[in-house]
Amino acid sequence: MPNTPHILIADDDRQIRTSLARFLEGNGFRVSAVADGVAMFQAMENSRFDLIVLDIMMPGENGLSLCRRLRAAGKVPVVLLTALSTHTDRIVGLELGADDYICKPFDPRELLARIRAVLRRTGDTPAPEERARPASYEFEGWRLDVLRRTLRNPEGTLVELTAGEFDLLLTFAGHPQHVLTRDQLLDMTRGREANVFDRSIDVQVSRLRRKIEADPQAPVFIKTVRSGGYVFCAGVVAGSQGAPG
Amino acid sequence: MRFFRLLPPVRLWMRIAAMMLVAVLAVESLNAAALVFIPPRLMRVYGGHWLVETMEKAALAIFQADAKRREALATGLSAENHLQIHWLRVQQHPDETAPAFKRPFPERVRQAIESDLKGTVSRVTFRSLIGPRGNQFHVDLLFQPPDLPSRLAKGPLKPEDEDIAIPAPFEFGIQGADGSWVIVEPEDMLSYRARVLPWFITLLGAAVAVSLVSTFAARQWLRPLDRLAGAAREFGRTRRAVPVNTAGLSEFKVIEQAMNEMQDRIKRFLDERTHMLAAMSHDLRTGLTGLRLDAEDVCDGEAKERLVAGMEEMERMISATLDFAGDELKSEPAQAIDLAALLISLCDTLADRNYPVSYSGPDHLSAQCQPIAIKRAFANLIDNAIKYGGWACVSLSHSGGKAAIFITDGGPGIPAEKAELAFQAFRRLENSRSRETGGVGLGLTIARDIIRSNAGEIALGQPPQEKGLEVKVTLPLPVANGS
Repeated sequence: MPNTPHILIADDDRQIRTSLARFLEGNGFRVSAVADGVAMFQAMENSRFDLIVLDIMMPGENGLSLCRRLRAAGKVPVVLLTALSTHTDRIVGLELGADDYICKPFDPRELLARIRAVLRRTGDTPAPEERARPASYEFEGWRLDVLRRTLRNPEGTLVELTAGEFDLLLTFAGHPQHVLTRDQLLDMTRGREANVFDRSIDVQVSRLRRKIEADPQAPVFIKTVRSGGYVFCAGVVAGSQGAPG
Repeated sequence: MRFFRLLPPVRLWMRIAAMMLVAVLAVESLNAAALVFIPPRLMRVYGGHWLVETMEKAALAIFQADAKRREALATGLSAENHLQIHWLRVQQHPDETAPAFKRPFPERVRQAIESDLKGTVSRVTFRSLIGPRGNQFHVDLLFQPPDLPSRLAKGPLKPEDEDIAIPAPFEFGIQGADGSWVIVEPEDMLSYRARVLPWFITLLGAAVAVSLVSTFAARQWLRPLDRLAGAAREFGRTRRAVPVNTAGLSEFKVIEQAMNEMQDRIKRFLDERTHMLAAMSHDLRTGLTGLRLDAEDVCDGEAKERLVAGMEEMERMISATLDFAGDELKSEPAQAIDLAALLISLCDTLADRNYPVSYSGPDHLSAQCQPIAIKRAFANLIDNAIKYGGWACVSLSHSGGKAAIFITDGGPGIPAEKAELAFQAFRRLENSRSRETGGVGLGLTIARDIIRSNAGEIALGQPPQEKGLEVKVTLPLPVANGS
């Protein structure tokens, strides 16, 4: 099956290697598994992988350092597995070029969804520089930090967003001055992870307005387009990948 | 300041002795300077012969002159003779009622004038202003040695007699035939104030000198104590070792060493604990991940759901315990966050999962907090409300530089006497440690830890009307937020 994505799992825990391999194979992937970084690079010499699931805490060279080397070497997308819930780990991982991260213990189906999302995102545009997402967006003094998933208002105050609101705003910031229909928005915001609890786009938009609009009744950033959808009217400046946020 | 540091470590008593020495030296040199710069008080003494001659001449000149010119004449004579000569028209000697002291030397002068001008003047009086209680007692003694009365000649002072000294101040009165008086006094002496002022200035100078020396020295010595206190406080807050350098006293050096060693030990202990927690966290989570993956294989349906739910619960418990024991939440730096947006997001996320949660309050309210920690605290409180109270009502308001957050639920509430118990770690108020409602009893503990370290307060109470639990959290607001 030449079209079946080939996934490499690098994790020092044997149980996870075997169980995760079995689970992913059961969901239609080809899977190889290695126990450390040396074996990972050996495996990569022998065959081409579409994605690497990389554990951060491994004996020998750790996952963050491996991630940096992988990024320097080529274009294989990386999903980091971390057993620590420390936020710095995740951000460092993303800044080093990982495409996504997931915390242990995870729901296997969530990992599956993220792997598929990363593959979908990277599959269309194979060149890494084109794939590079901006690390931040700025609009009218507001600053959206993509890696840390934070939003700051012009005064520098952190404004908390729910996951859905953040993804929605991220989508808007990525497509300023474009009319986006509800279906488009739904597609784009669910790219990262499908969330069965997500409310309708209209609800999310009105919540987002409450947080970023001076007057939610008379929005200036997110405007409703009659019979169309929504348009993000602010001028957006994208920050470069890896820029300190 | 540098100067003290260059000195080898000395004992405290040495410094105290040195400071006393410096203070005494400062006062003494001030006194010496005063002697040089403030001239000593002059003691004025008039010669008896000269005084007799001058006063007689003055009295004759004045009494012979026209009454209108007498005053001016007296003034002129005063300036020539370094005396104060007044002419008084009155019949009675102006100060005759005041106490007068007879003195042998002036008495001879008085008698001399009286006998010389007999016929021209009707009376000559003398008053010494040197009294036993006067300010110049010593002068009085000097000129009247009590053991030598025999040497003192008596009678009017004649030109051939040995001269005698008349110490100031004094007052001679010569009454003319017309009843008016010529009063003769020495030139103005320094006033009382003028005499006290130099003494007062010297005293003030000494006081200032001693205060300066002792304040400077004491502050210099006690500064290491401030640094120690600051380091202890800093260490308590940040848990980062702050090396203390007390620079100087060997008494402080001992404390400094003890303090630095203690910091090192605590730091090592904390580091070990952090590593242990990280290792535990990693191993437990890795194990759970394996189990979770296996659950996908081995079974399906209701059994699997129970298994997964159990594992999720376990994960939550591990996370809560690690949060409680770990340092990550505590070391997070504070920054400006929109408290209202935070609460709205928490409520919306839960509401999306069909939990009965509502928020009321402003859309925005800026506060200075640890963002992730404070989110955890409120998430715990709202979770608790839902878990034990069925629903949660979150309200935010602010006044007087403080934000007040009320989280109300419809549960059984917590009686006031058990409120403190509810905050204790690993304590759940349901009697059995039943896992039905989940949790390990750390939610409130962690929440209170976080809120307190963000300078806030948390209290459990009862909503005004209904039964249930009302958790009140207050957090300080930045000054600009007062509206």
